[in-house]
Amino acid sequence: MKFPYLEVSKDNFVPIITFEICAGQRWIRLEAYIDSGATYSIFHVDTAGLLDIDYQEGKKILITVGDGGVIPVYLHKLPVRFAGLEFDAIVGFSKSLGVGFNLLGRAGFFEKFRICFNDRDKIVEATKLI
Amino acid sequence: MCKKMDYFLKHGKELEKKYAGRYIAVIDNKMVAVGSSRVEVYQKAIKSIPPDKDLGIFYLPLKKEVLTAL
Repeated sequence: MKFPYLEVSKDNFVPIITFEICAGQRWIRLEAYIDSGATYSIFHVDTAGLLDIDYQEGKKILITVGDGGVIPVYLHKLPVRFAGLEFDAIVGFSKSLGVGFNLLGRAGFFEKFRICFNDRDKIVEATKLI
Repeated sequence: MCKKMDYFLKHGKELEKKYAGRYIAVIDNKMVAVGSSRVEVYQKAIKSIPPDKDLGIFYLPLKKEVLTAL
Protein backbone atom coordinates (compact mmCIF):
# COMPACT_ATOMS: atom_id res chain seq x y z
CA MET A 1 0.00 0.00 0.00
CA LYS A 2 1.26 3.44 -0.91
CA PHE A 3 0.83 6.41 1.37
CA PRO A 4 1.53 9.88 -0.02
CA TYR A 5 3.51 12.12 2.29
CA LEU A 6 1.54 14.80 4.06
CA GLU A 7 2.25 18.26 2.68
CA VAL A 8 2.35 20.55 5.69
CA SER A 9 3.33 23.69 3.78
CA LYS A 10 4.57 24.59 0.33
CA ASP A 11 7.17 22.00 -0.71
CA ASN A 12 7.37 20.68 2.82
CA PHE A 13 6.39 17.01 2.89
CA VAL A 14 6.59 14.59 5.79
CA PRO A 15 6.08 10.80 5.97
CA ILE A 16 2.97 10.97 8.11
CA ILE A 17 0.58 8.12 7.40
CA THR A 18 -2.56 6.83 9.08
CA PHE A 19 -3.39 3.63 10.88
CA GLU A 20 -6.32 2.47 12.97
CA ILE A 21 -6.47 1.49 16.58
CA CYS A 22 -9.29 -0.29 18.37
CA ALA A 23 -11.20 1.76 20.93
CA GLY A 24 -13.72 -0.70 22.31
CA GLN A 25 -16.59 -0.86 19.81
CA ARG A 26 -14.95 1.52 17.38
CA TRP A 27 -11.82 1.73 15.25
CA ILE A 28 -10.26 5.17 15.22
CA ARG A 29 -7.91 6.33 12.50
CA LEU A 30 -4.93 8.31 13.71
CA GLU A 31 -1.86 9.92 12.18
CA ALA A 32 1.70 8.78 12.79
CA TYR A 33 5.09 9.89 11.58
CA ILE A 34 6.96 6.86 10.35
CA ASP A 35 10.18 6.83 12.35
CA SER A 36 12.37 4.01 11.08
CA GLY A 37 15.00 4.92 13.68
CA ALA A 38 12.66 4.30 16.58
CA THR A 39 12.55 0.91 18.27
CA TYR A 40 8.98 1.34 19.46
CA SER A 41 5.96 3.28 18.34
CA ILE A 42 5.25 6.02 20.83
CA PHE A 43 1.85 7.58 21.12
CA HIS A 44 0.67 10.51 23.17
CA VAL A 45 -1.10 9.77 26.41
CA ASP A 46 -4.25 11.42 25.08
CA THR A 47 -4.34 8.61 22.53
CA ALA A 48 -4.57 6.26 25.51
CA GLY A 49 -7.42 8.48 26.68
CA LEU A 50 -9.30 7.72 23.47
CA LEU A 51 -8.89 4.02 24.13
CA ASP A 52 -9.99 4.43 27.73
CA ILE A 53 -6.95 2.60 29.08
CA ASP A 54 -4.72 3.47 32.00
CA TYR A 55 -1.44 3.85 30.14
CA GLN A 56 0.60 3.56 33.35
CA GLU A 57 -0.52 -0.05 33.73
CA GLY A 58 1.80 -0.97 30.87
CA LYS A 59 5.40 -2.10 31.21
CA LYS A 60 7.54 0.94 31.93
CA ILE A 61 10.74 1.39 29.94
CA LEU A 62 13.07 4.34 29.42
CA ILE A 63 13.78 5.40 25.84
CA THR A 64 16.68 7.58 24.79
CA VAL A 65 15.70 10.45 22.50
CA GLY A 66 17.68 12.63 20.09
CA ASP A 67 19.19 15.00 22.65
CA GLY A 68 20.42 12.13 24.82
CA GLY A 69 17.67 12.51 27.36
CA VAL A 70 15.44 9.65 28.39
CA ILE A 71 11.66 9.57 28.53
CA PRO A 72 9.43 7.07 30.32
CA VAL A 73 7.28 5.00 27.98
CA TYR A 74 4.60 2.48 28.96
CA LEU A 75 4.22 -0.47 26.61
CA HIS A 76 0.91 -2.11 25.73
CA LYS A 77 -0.09 -4.77 23.24
CA LEU A 78 -3.04 -3.44 21.24
CA PRO A 79 -4.99 -4.38 18.11
CA VAL A 80 -4.16 -2.14 15.16
CA ARG A 81 -4.92 -1.98 11.44
CA PHE A 82 -2.22 -0.82 9.11
CA ALA A 83 -1.87 -1.11 5.34
CA GLY A 84 -4.79 -3.51 5.06
CA LEU A 85 -3.72 -5.86 7.84
CA GLU A 86 -5.10 -6.27 11.37
CA PHE A 87 -2.71 -7.46 14.07
CA ASP A 88 -1.61 -6.91 17.65
CA ALA A 89 1.33 -4.55 18.07
CA ILE A 90 3.42 -3.46 21.02
CA VAL A 91 3.04 0.29 21.31
CA GLY A 92 4.17 2.74 23.93
CA PHE A 93 2.51 5.74 25.51
CA SER A 94 4.38 8.69 26.89
CA LYS A 95 3.48 12.11 28.21
CA SER A 96 7.00 13.28 27.40
CA LEU A 97 6.83 13.03 23.62
CA GLY A 98 8.18 16.35 22.38
CA VAL A 99 6.12 16.51 19.19
CA GLY A 100 2.36 16.58 18.69
CA PHE A 101 2.10 13.67 16.30
CA ASN A 102 2.36 9.99 17.14
CA LEU A 103 5.48 8.07 16.11
CA LEU A 104 5.31 4.74 14.33
CA GLY A 105 8.47 2.76 15.08
CA ARG A 106 9.80 -0.61 14.05
CA ALA A 107 8.48 -3.03 16.70
CA GLY A 108 5.37 -4.79 15.51
CA PHE A 109 5.26 -3.00 12.17
CA PHE A 110 8.59 -3.40 10.41
CA GLU A 111 8.51 -7.16 11.12
CA LYS A 112 5.31 -7.41 9.11
CA PHE A 113 6.01 -4.93 6.34
CA ARG A 114 8.87 -3.79 4.20
CA ILE A 115 8.58 -0.04 4.46
CA CYS A 116 10.26 2.07 1.80
CA PHE A 117 10.56 5.83 1.68
CA ASN A 118 10.54 7.51 -1.72
CA ASP A 119 11.43 11.12 -1.03
CA ARG A 120 11.56 11.99 -4.72
CA ASP A 121 7.91 11.05 -5.29
CA LYS A 122 6.86 11.80 -1.69
CA ILE A 123 5.49 8.32 -1.11
CA VAL A 124 6.01 5.72 1.56
CA GLU A 125 5.20 2.17 0.54
CA ALA A 126 4.32 -0.61 2.98
CA THR A 127 4.56 -4.10 1.48
CA LYS A 128 3.37 -7.07 3.50
CA LEU A 129 6.18 -9.54 4.18
CA ILE A 130 5.32 -13.15 3.39
CA MET B 1 -6.31 4.99 0.66
CA CYS B 2 -9.40 5.69 2.79
CA LYS B 3 -11.54 8.81 2.63
CA LYS B 4 -10.45 10.08 6.02
CA MET B 5 -6.80 9.95 5.03
CA ASP B 6 -7.65 11.37 1.63
CA TYR B 7 -9.25 14.40 3.28
CA PHE B 8 -6.31 14.82 5.64
CA LEU B 9 -3.86 14.78 2.73
CA LYS B 10 -5.94 16.70 0.24
CA HIS B 11 -6.51 19.59 2.59
CA GLY B 12 -3.26 19.34 4.51
CA LYS B 13 -1.80 22.73 3.57
CA GLU B 14 -5.10 24.54 3.96
CA LEU B 15 -5.77 22.93 7.34
CA GLU B 16 -2.23 23.70 8.48
CA LYS B 17 -2.78 27.40 7.89
CA LYS B 18 -5.82 27.43 10.14
CA TYR B 19 -5.19 24.69 12.64
CA ALA B 20 -1.46 23.98 12.96
CA GLY B 21 -0.75 22.60 16.40
CA ARG B 22 -4.38 21.52 16.87
CA TYR B 23 -6.41 18.36 16.41
CA ILE B 24 -9.27 17.62 14.05
CA ALA B 25 -11.91 14.91 13.77
CA VAL B 26 -12.94 13.69 10.32
CA ILE B 27 -16.03 11.69 9.42
CA ASP B 28 -17.02 10.84 5.86
CA ASN B 29 -14.54 13.22 4.29
CA LYS B 30 -15.67 16.13 6.43
CA MET B 31 -14.02 17.82 9.36
CA VAL B 32 -16.51 17.74 12.21
CA ALA B 33 -14.50 19.02 15.16
CA VAL B 34 -11.36 20.92 16.05
CA GLY B 35 -9.74 21.23 19.44
CA SER B 36 -6.64 21.25 21.57
CA SER B 37 -6.47 17.51 22.34
CA ARG B 38 -7.43 14.20 20.79
CA VAL B 39 -9.82 13.46 23.62
CA GLU B 40 -11.56 16.81 23.20
CA VAL B 41 -12.23 16.38 19.47
CA TYR B 42 -13.22 12.75 20.01
CA GLN B 43 -15.82 13.73 22.57
CA LYS B 44 -17.17 16.43 20.26
CA ALA B 45 -17.31 14.08 17.29
CA ILE B 46 -18.95 11.06 18.90
CA LYS B 47 -21.96 13.12 19.96
CA SER B 48 -23.11 13.30 16.37
CA ILE B 49 -22.32 9.89 14.92
CA PRO B 50 -23.52 6.31 15.42
CA PRO B 51 -21.03 3.90 17.03
CA ASP B 52 -20.42 1.98 13.81
CA LYS B 53 -19.29 5.06 11.88
CA ASP B 54 -15.59 5.35 11.14
CA LEU B 55 -13.78 8.24 12.70
CA GLY B 56 -10.40 9.83 12.06
CA ILE B 57 -8.59 12.01 14.56
CA PHE B 58 -5.51 13.79 13.31
CA TYR B 59 -2.92 16.19 14.62
CA LEU B 60 -1.81 19.02 12.32
CA PRO B 61 1.92 19.49 12.92
CA LEU B 62 3.59 22.81 13.47
CA LYS B 63 6.24 23.72 10.90
CA LYS B 64 8.95 23.57 13.53
CA GLU B 65 7.98 20.00 14.43
CA VAL B 66 8.55 18.51 11.01
CA LEU B 67 12.27 19.24 10.80
CA THR B 68 13.23 16.27 12.89
CA ALA B 69 16.13 14.14 13.99
CA LEU B 70 14.07 11.59 15.85
